[in-house]
Amino acid sequence: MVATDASSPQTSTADSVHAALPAELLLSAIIDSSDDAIVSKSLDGTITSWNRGAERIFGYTAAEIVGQSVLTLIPPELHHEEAEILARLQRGERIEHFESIRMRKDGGRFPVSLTISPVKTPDGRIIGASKVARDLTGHRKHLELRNLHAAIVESSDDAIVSKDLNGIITSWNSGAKRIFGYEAGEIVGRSVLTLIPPELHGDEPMILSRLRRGERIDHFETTRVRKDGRRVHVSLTISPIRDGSGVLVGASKVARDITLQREAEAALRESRIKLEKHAQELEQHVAERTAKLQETVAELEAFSYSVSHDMRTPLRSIVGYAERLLRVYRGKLDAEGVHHLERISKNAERLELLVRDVLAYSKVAKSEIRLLPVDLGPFLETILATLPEAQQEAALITVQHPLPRVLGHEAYLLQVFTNLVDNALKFAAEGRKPAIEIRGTSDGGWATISVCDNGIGIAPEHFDRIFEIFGRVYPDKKFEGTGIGLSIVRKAVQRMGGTVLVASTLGQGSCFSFTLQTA
Amino acid sequence: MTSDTILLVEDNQDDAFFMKQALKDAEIMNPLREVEDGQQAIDYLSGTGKFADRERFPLPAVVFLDLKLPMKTGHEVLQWIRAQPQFKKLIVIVLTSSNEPVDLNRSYQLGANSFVVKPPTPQELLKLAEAFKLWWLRQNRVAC
Repeated sequence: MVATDASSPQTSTADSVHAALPAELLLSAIIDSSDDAIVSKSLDGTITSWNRGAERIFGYTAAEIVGQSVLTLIPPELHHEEAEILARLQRGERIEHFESIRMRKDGGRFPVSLTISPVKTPDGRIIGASKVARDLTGHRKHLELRNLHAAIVESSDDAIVSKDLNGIITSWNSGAKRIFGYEAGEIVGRSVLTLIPPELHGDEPMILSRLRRGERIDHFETTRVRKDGRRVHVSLTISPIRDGSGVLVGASKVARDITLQREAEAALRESRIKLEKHAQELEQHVAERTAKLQETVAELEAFSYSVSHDMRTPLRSIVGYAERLLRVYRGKLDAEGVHHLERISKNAERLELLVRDVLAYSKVAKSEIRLLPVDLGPFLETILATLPEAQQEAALITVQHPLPRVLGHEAYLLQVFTNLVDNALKFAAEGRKPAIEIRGTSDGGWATISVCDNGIGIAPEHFDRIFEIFGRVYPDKKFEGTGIGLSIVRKAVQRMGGTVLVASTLGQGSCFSFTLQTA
Repeated sequence: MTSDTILLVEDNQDDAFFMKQALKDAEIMNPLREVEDGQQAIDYLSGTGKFADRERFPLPAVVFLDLKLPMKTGHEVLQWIRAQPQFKKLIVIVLTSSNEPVDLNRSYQLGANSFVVKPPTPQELLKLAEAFKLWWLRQNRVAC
């Protein structure tokens, strides 16, 4: 399309053909207005003409470059190209769309597409070459981007697939191959229904109709079928594809394999169910055990009731008959007979005491109680007045009034005080009249009540043992007792929310103190 | 109809023996009649069957009533007694080995005049009998 006179320095036609033909003028104008560089050179590579496009692309003016070697425009490492080009030109060949790199005046390099044609004289002699150079900078970027996109699509782990509006697959990346098992060659041209399980075929018209409306479908989780028939769980994102003029032509589909995720979820769900089942079983066990315990407690209560009635009755008879024998028939018995009867009587009485205390203990240990305000001063006076062992002549009992008002349970408090006072009197030191002092203080919502005596005292190593049930320190002979009294005291105080403490010096006396909430 | 008979409702023969002994030792001369279960107590009081003869089985002034009885419990007997118009004012003393608050409360609710736990020894039982004599037979005034 373009031919220029090799001798002309400007884009105008050769001076020698001065007779400006209108056609030649037109040609010149066309050349000057081209965006491409249109240049001519002689066969030795000297530039002979230079249009405005060349000026713009290479940065040289015609004046600067005409007469220079074309090598000025070629990067040094590509100089060898010129020799090849010249050789081909001399053979009369035309070189089309030869892509290479050229240099601008400022040294910058850029991609070009060159089309070079030999310039011949009318008699066919080759005298030079015309060169059309197109700057590919913009074009190249586009291509690179396209390649990049293609590479990205290809390297994706997700299946990236396109289809037309009829659901026919039009492209298939390697991710799709990996997930679905089909080669691109096998599947392109076939319907996407190939990938959809039969029972889900109904989804496709819905998807297509949404696409036709231009809608995008995000993260649609569904199931697809692999080539080998196995199912895969996928998350689909489907977007409409439009051509340059905005017309809907198909859809791109990105499918992510979420099989592992689904399996993990399923496993998680399963473990959660297992865990829940386990928890339920556990709860049931607890419920069963609680029921059993409640049953046991009920049995124990029934047992203690039976102890209080059925076991005490024969005991009372033994005591009664032994006593009667001793009283009415004493004269008919010898000393040994009397002694044996006395032992029967004594033992039966002791058993009666044991039964009474075990019963008292089980009573303070069981059942719910309601704590009510109790004025300890008057309450204690009443107890002491009815306690036979605590009368003036036998012991000196002092109550340091006032005593605090506490939250307690009268039956329990009765057990606590009678047992503590009984103990204080029982463990009296030889040759010393028992003296007991009861006092109480209150501080910060809690009252501390102490019962102190001047008795034999308790060695520190026995402090724990005395509170245990049947936890006796002295042999029966020396101090009679059941070994349950302090257990009752501790249990009763605990049931009322308090604690019991003991302090003692062996040989000087003991101090039992307990706490209760003030009322 | 005034009477000084004491009716002892007691199934345990030992307890009955000790009670009789204690009443005797306390020199209580009132005639004593005994029955061994709850149904007999009701039959006695209502004069049914073998208790029809009021000469031999006079209506009592005081009833000692055990709670744990065969046939009918002491509570049932008590309930029956208070349901009879003629026995609304009859003195009933519950004499039991139970010290359970449940039994105690129920007895008073059903109209017992007194609730006494059987003492563990004959001496204490004697004291009880003497106190009974003084309180219920000498000092206490009955409704007429």
